[in-house]
Amino acid sequence: MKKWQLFLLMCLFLSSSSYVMAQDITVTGRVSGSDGTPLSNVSIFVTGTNQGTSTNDQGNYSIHAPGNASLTFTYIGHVSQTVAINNRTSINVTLEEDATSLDEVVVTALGIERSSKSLTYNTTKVSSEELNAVKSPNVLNNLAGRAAGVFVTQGDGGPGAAPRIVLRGNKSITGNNQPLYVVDGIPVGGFADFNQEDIESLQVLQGASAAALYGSQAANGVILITTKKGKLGSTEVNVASSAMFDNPMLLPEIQTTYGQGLDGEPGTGTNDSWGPKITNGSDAHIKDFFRTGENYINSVSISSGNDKSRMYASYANTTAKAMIPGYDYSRHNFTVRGSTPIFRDKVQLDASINYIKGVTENRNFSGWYNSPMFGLYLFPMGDDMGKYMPNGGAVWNEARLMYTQNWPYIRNEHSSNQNPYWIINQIQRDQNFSRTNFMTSAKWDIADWLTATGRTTLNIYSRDEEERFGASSDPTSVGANGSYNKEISGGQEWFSDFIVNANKTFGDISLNAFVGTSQTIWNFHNLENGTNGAQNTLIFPNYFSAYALQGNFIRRESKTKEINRAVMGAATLGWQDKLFLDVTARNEWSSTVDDAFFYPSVGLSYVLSEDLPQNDVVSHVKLRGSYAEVGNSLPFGASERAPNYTLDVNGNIVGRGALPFFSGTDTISLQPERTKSLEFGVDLGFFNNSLNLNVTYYNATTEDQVFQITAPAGSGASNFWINGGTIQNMGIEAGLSYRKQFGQVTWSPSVNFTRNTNRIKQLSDLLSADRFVLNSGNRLTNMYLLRPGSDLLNGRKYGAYHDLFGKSYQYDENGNQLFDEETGLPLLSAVDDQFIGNANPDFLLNWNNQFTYKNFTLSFLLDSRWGGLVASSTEQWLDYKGLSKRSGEARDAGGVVLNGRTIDAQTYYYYISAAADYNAASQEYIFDSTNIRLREFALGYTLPKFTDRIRSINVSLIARNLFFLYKKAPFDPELAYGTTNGSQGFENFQTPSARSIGLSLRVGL
Amino acid sequence: MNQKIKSKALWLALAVLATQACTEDFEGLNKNQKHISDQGLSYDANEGGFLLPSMMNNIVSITTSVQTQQNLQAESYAGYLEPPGEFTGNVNTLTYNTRGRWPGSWTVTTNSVMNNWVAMYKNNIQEKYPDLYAIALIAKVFGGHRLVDTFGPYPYEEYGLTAEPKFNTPEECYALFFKDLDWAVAALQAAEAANPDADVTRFKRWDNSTLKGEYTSWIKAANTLRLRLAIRISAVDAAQAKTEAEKAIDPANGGLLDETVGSFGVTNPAGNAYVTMRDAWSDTRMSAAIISYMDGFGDPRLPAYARPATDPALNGEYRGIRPGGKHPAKDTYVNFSLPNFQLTDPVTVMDVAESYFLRAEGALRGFNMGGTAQEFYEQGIRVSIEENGVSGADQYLQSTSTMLPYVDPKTANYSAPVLSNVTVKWDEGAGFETKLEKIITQKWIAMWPEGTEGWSEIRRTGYPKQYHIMDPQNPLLPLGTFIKRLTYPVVQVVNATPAGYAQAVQYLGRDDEDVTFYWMKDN
Repeated sequence: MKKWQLFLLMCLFLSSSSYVMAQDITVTGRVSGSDGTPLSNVSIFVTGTNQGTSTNDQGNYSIHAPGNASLTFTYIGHVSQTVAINNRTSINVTLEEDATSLDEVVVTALGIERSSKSLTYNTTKVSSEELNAVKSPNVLNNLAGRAAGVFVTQGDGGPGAAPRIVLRGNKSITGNNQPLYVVDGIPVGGFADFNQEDIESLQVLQGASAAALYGSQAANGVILITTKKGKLGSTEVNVASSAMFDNPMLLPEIQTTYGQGLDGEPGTGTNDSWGPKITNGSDAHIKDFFRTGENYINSVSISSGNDKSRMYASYANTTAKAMIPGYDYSRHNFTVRGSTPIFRDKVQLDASINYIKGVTENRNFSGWYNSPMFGLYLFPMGDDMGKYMPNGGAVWNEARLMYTQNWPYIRNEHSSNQNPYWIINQIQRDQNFSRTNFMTSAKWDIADWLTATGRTTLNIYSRDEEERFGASSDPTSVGANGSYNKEISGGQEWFSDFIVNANKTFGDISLNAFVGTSQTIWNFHNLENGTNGAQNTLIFPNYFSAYALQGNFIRRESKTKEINRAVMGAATLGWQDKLFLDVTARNEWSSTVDDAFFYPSVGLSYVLSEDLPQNDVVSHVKLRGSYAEVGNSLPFGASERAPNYTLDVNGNIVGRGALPFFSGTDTISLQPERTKSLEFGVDLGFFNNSLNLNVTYYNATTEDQVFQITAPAGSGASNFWINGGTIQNMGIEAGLSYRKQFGQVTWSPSVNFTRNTNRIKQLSDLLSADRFVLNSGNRLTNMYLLRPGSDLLNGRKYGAYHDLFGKSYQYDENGNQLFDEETGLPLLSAVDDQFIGNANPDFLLNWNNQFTYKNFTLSFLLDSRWGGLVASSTEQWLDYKGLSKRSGEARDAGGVVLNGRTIDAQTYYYYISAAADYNAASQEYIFDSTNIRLREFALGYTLPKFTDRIRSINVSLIARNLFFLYKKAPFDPELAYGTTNGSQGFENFQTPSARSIGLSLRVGL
Repeated sequence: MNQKIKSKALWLALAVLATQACTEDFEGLNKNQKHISDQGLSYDANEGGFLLPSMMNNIVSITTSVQTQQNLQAESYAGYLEPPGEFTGNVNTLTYNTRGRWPGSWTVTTNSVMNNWVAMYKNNIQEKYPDLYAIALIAKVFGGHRLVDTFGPYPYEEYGLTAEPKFNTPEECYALFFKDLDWAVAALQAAEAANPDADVTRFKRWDNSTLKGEYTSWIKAANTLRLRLAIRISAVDAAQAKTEAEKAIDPANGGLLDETVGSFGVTNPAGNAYVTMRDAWSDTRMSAAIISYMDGFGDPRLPAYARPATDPALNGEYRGIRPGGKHPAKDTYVNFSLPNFQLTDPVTVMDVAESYFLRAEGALRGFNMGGTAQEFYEQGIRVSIEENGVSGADQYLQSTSTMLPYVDPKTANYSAPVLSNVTVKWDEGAGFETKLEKIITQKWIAMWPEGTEGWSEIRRTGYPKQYHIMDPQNPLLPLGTFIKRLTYPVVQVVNATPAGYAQAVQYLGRDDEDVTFYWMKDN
């Protein structure tokens, strides 16, 4: 922002209008409901100002106000009232329940509060009680099963790992598919690490229509978080503690009958369990490896305020010990927030600082390399793990005068089999991070219908990661003296906006409109140094320092900056408080895109129940529909025609790899991806709104997908960036909730249903291949995006994102399976490009229940996922090594009977697992991820009040992932190898999911 | 009051409008500031040569990318090196199933030699620094002919000038190679004549190769390459071959690689990648044929090339692994003879001894090579023995023993009798084929382990006789047959370049592993 603009803004704030101030008097009183019960937490404001207070538990309030002013009383679910003071010192008010609608105030895009009935799109609110009932170290894990339209995939690993969240399906082929997080109206990164006790409420805006005003970053939907601000006129202290203990929910089942060896012969030192029958077989070493995980989350918050100013401060400490020994996580969160009116109460100033510091120690790897699960699960049957446990998996090496890895099974079988105890002690990965968020906003009440708001937030983060591999670790990638890698990175996101908002009613017509401008600047930098492969090791053994790097060690550095600017406007026009028209528009300039881009949205909602005769059955009917477009700015550097060069470890310049598509004479101008979405929905309330149903249908098409293709041979580049495809996501979201009193028991169940269908509608002709390869190389399945009409679609009209392809069994025209005549083994397709299925679930269904009886509450969440496939590399390896349960059973039966012939078990399992390499029978290792689980359980008791000093004490028994009611896969099918687009639908020697049980305590003072 | 509000609203609206659309500070933002820019490369005239190291490093990759570029293909087909384990269920290039397998044979050289050459061409280096461009052209021909020999048609002529250049036939490509070499040698000779230190000031710092930044040495490498290409087409286009071969040896053109210059190789300062493949990965061992021939001949170079097997079943003898066999348990063959690479060894692109064996064959074919076939044959053997730091050439040149039969103590039916009666000692009275077999066999030993050239010469001459693979996974190449070419990579060519692929298939008839073309023997 230029200097003169800043000056102008300051002038505008300072020149607030003057008016005659009347003498302040103190007004006290009591607010009650229509049945006479006192209402607490009712907001009371001097009308037209930000000066206010709220009622206490007895419904009493006290406020200073000019004797000629008015007071406005507002309370959720009740009709607001404005009462002129007329120099009275005592005013009692009765608020009527607002029976006609669920007119709660919702926070929408840009932090503007609107009444829910004017919304033209679907949104789901998740309360802090729901989020905090059964806490986990990462708040996003608690979103699972809480709102329709939300897909949560647990990330790889334990505490500190964020899950993958996708709203309404995957829209971008290779870009980001995860939603934008907006805290108090401002987009922030790193939300996963926030203190969840600071959250007042969380709102999921599933669609692009809700997000249109956030531009590029919000094309995948938005999660809006409102944080606690403190309360006018009272002081509260809240303490929350929880302790949870983890155990593996599910471990692989292995055979214990057959010992080490090959072809039925014993073989000491052989890393296979195809040997003879043994009597000392046991799988205890797997269970014994894990420790009981511990998670402690303690937080304290203080909120206070007088009649004008409010403040809120909190501290939270999260300490976790993962089930993998040595893997620890801790995090500190500090928040301070204050707000006060200034300039004769005309300007409301709000500021906060949020500081997060976290440490992850010794986080384990997953997969084939350096994962402790690999050596643990594949430990040959009959050998004694006790031999390899002492000294942290090491043995004294007299020649080197140091402890080196004690493991006879190290060998390069396209993987690195290492001692799991060595890995957790000598292969370490630490991470330190910190994040500071400064936020300031000023809201100026220009008139009772016009406000101007300026906000700025600076989010500064830094990260420091270190990997250390002790000498004698996996020789395929680690040199004799060990290896070391250090990366220091950091950056900042600086968001600012300025908005003028008008809110006016003209008879039957109401108008709520704003215009604004925003700017976001991202900076990122990193520096990485490390050893380079097996040949480049440290100068001295186990000396993990930059000083120990030598020769052609890895050094990388980057520094990037992106700027995005926009002007936007929106208007909501209401008629008789029942018909609403919503229009938004945004024009955006991005430093990654050549030209400015514009996108609009329009929506309509109709509160039909306003026109229905009063009845006891249908209490609320709202119809809504909206259409929105959102552009998604280009990936950094994609449109650059002359990108800078990198250097290899020898200091040689590496030629340019990917360039924008070049036709020989012309280079294309890449366009931003554009999502066009349409949604319709209905919100229904029955029986005085005790039963509510909302259903939404959406159809979002994302065009001009930006991705890289392999450049044609001889074109002079290896890859080209193109605008090359269209993806459609269609689906239905539904929520049903109910609340009923049975005597002293209140039951409030709710059900969410989510179904999404994804289609690859089109792929550009510039991509001359019949498919786009999203991922290949996991040895079991490939992810292809197929063009409509492709032979590989297997009769389907369209392919879908995360379709899986692999080698399939062959059948004749009568449907009989084909076998090799010589060996009797099943025939497989020649190429691993046969359609197997899709990794995404067909639908999600969850059922949330809450019972209250006197001081007891009981809640549980049953979460289910139907359909969708996961490939398991773990199962493939267990078959290959003769450790899978079925390989033992096959040997018990004398072999595998196929087509009337008995085939030697080892021959058969070598064949179908392809010795754990490519060319396996994919179908054997694909599992249906359908499962129903008790995801959360909480039984709470609130102690009767025994002293005035303590407001409340609540004790709860809590649990997560207690058990599966039903599942098909031999592992938790919701684990994914990672949270990236290409790592879905694949399981590979991951830390097992945890079953957690614990206690929580909440004290309010 | 009302008036005031109006004026404020107007100010606000102006403020909003003014903040929009300042995009002037976007300039240059879309680049990583810690990577080096074209501007940064213009200083010290670095723009002329900065892409040359990457080109030299990727004719034969000096990193472990060489594994999927040629170690698992040509080096196995040439009978040089063989992995002890299996990859992808033993269905892969080693067992003649090449479609959709590792694309490195295509991508390494195409992306790093051809694409960098075209970047230099587009930066007009041929005008600004013709001598540096000449080095790029030599690297381009070194890389280009290996691609053509491996696959067949290649988009050589219009490379980088259009998004989908035409695929040239191997005949067309060879003609273009000679033209590129003409241009390069002339430019280097001109630069050398104008200023003998031109290479020192402009080029030396870019040259990681054993030619050490000497233009005269690069001229010799270019001439030897011309001779290689000439001999390659000697059976199918004798006239052109004779012209080019005689041009190559003409002293006025700068001469051929010799003992003084040595072999053309490129050193990886990070260490020889074959050492990683051998030790850290246990993925490469000696192949059966190279040991059988050398051991049988009593070759003094054998201890320099290989280490005795440590498997107890082999009693400390040298033993290679039969190519393309089944060995699901890696342990079975992992302790057969290891190749004796040192970390500091350069990766050889062209062995100096080849210069003599090429002349020997030229003389055998009646070209004027400035000497007899026997002279060049024997000199080639001496140079190679000396280059490997061993002695005993005199005795070796008298050797009349044949190769040994292959004995596999692990898998009995992998053993094989003697394939050929060829011996080392020259026999002037013998016929053309016997002499050719001697020359090619000795050249093959000298060139080890550069498999792409070794495999090409086997396909051209049928020598030296090789053990066929034991587990063929390609119905077109049943047991007892040999692979002729690699199929085009599916991603980079079949899918990404349909028009060019159609031209290539039209020329070849089929894109299969058994199809021969141009200079290749038909069986």
